[in-house]
Amino acid sequence: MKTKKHHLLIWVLLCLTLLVSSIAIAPQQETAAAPKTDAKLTAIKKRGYMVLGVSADYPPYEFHKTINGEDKVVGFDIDLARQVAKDIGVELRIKELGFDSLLGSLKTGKVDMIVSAMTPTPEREKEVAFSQPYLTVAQKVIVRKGEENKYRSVMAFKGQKVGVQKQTTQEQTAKDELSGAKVVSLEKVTDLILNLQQKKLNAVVVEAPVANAYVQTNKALTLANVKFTNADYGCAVAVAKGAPAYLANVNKTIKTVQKNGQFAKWQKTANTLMFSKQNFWQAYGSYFLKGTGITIVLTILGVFFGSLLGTLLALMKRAKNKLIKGIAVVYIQYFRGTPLLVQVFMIYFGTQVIHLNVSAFASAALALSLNSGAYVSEVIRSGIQSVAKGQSEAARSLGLSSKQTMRLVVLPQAVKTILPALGNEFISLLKESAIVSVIGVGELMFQTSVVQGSSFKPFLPLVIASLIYFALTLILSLVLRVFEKN
Amino acid sequence: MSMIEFHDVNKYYGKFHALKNINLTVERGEVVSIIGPSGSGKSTLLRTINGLEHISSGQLLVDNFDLADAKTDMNKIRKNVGMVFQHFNLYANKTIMENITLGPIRVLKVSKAEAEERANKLLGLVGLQDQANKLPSMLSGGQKQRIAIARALAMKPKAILFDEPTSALDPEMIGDVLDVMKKVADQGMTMIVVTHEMGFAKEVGDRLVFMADGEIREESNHPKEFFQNPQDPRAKEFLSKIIHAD
Ligand SMILES: Nc1ncnc2c1ncn2[C@@H]1O[C@H](COP(=O)(O)OP(=O)(O)OP(=O)(O)O)[C@@H](O)[C@H]1O
Ligand SMILES: [Mg+2]
Repeated sequence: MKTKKHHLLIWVLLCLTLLVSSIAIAPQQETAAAPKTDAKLTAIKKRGYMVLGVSADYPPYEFHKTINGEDKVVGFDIDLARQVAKDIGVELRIKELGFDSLLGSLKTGKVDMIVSAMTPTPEREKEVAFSQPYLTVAQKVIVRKGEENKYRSVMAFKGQKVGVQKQTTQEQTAKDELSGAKVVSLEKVTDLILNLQQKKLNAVVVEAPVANAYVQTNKALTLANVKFTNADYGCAVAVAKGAPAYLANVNKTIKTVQKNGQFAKWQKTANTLMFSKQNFWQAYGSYFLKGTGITIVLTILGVFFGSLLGTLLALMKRAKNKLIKGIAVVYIQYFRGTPLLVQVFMIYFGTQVIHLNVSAFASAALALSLNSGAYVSEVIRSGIQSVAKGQSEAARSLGLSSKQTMRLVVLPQAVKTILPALGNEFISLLKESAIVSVIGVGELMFQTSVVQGSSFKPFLPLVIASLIYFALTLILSLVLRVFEKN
Repeated sequence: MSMIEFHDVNKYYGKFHALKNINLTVERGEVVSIIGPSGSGKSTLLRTINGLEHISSGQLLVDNFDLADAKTDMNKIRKNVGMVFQHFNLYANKTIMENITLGPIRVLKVSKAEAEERANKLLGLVGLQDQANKLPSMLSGGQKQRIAIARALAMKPKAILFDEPTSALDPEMIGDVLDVMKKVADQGMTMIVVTHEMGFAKEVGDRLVFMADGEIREESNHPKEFFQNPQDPRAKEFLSKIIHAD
């Protein structure tokens, strides 16, 4: 299931309530006598297409794949959505969104349905309506081939190292049900598999579709015959509330593809696609491209707002008012005196503590701007100081006000020292921006780790990333040199 | 109605007593030379007149404005009291023309055309008509100082303060600058000149002030007599050193 680190609570709740909800809600939907049509269904038919909202970063459910040189969104969720559209008699359009913004988009009508490995939870059911589950997800234990006989029950894992993805249902399940196992939590499934292959782990607990995909394509791995008592959950299609005929259509499609085996075929195709060998560049070039783009945008935003803020801070620091000056001094000291990593976390999680829903990207841009502001203010301050005192004395002694002196005489000269230093700030911010990958901003470093994981090549993506950073900073410094000459 | 009046003025830098009980009056049109050993407070005295330094006690009247009075608009005083510095302090980022016209345009609010017309006249006065579009860094020290004088004159000030205007110059350039200063003096400008040029103090100065240790030790209405027969022992010592040095 799709998990977000900070959604731990929701997931715990989910585990507790899943049994109840799947029993209580599914039959209701089955038995509800649906009218032939409703406003939503009519609107979709009239329009001739329907929009699928999906967060396409979760193989084998939904993911990007380059097929015949074209970047496509594939996975069994996509196949199912296409079938739903087909059965209604309209075309499917795919809208990619962050998982967190899916529900909002459905409620506001930006998308017509969500098929994105989404599990019905009581919170979500307050907002939208869910179909019957199209997939019941069990949890599986992957072990190395040949060792499956060692692990025939939950008791067999005593003292064994068992890997799980951090803060997932699997983590909870492993702790609850594999008694005596040493549970190791890592960020990514691909890291878990690598560790298993290298015998650093003895078993890995993942959800069934993912487990099946790995076992299907990796001959060295197999599934252990272990049954958990309390860990199944379902995925369902979400649609807007108050459209019973529309929902009935969706349910009908699900029922059909499950019965005629179509869904199982889609799953198999997705698994194959997920692991199909591809030219590295074709498969992952776009990740680096996208990451580089976001890195550049973040840096530009950081330098732009950092410069505005830095100028303000530099002026505040020169102010006669002790309070204004004090604020600037403390601010600069704080942001120069604490790690950027800490600042990024403070802003990302701090805004959530005060109930502000700031996206990871915005948090990153904000953190970089605030941080850069502190450094830029020092750049500006030393630029101003570099202008000989006699220059401002001459201006003042001719009757220019202090503002005029600053604007007409001092700043134009300070700029000569400020600009190159600002360029250096630009370069260092570009490099520092790698840090914001920790909060899941899709910049270059983040994309690099995505590629590291899904390509099973831990080193090559790093080399590529370092070359991209190097090229960017090189270009920047060349551009700056041209500027300096003029 | 004198141009400048010091009454019992004291100036401290922290605990350091830089100006001690200064009493001095400068009449309109007068040229006053200030001499004295290094560190005696000559620059400090000059800089209090246009508010680059604040006085600690006493009364300082400039053009009838009390500088200690918070209501006094310092910018107004400064535009009436020009200053020429030892190191010229021409605006490094501006052309000669812009250096001269910046004040008139921004402070006196005259039109650019008018400011430039006047600047050209002043460039003529200081003998540098053809330098208008150059940057200060392209001029010699003597030329820079003549431009600085033109820049001060462009504001049509009531007085000009000179702080060792020739000390940073090569000897062969000093004459040109002194000639310009003489012209300015002849036009009736009130001038206070801190200088080591005894010739100027003798020939051009109406009055001479000798400072030592933050005090005015001797004041003379006849500079030539002062140089022949100083009264104050520190002045005697100072003059003997200068004459030996020359
Ligand atoms: N901003 C300041 N802070 C502290 N002391 C200062 C400051 N400016 C000047 N002084 C001190 O005040 C004294 C007088 O300095 P001032 O520059 O007026 O001397 P001066 O007579 O002009 O000397 P010179 O011939 O070397 O220019 C000196 O001892 C100097 O060190
Ligand atoms: Mg001095």
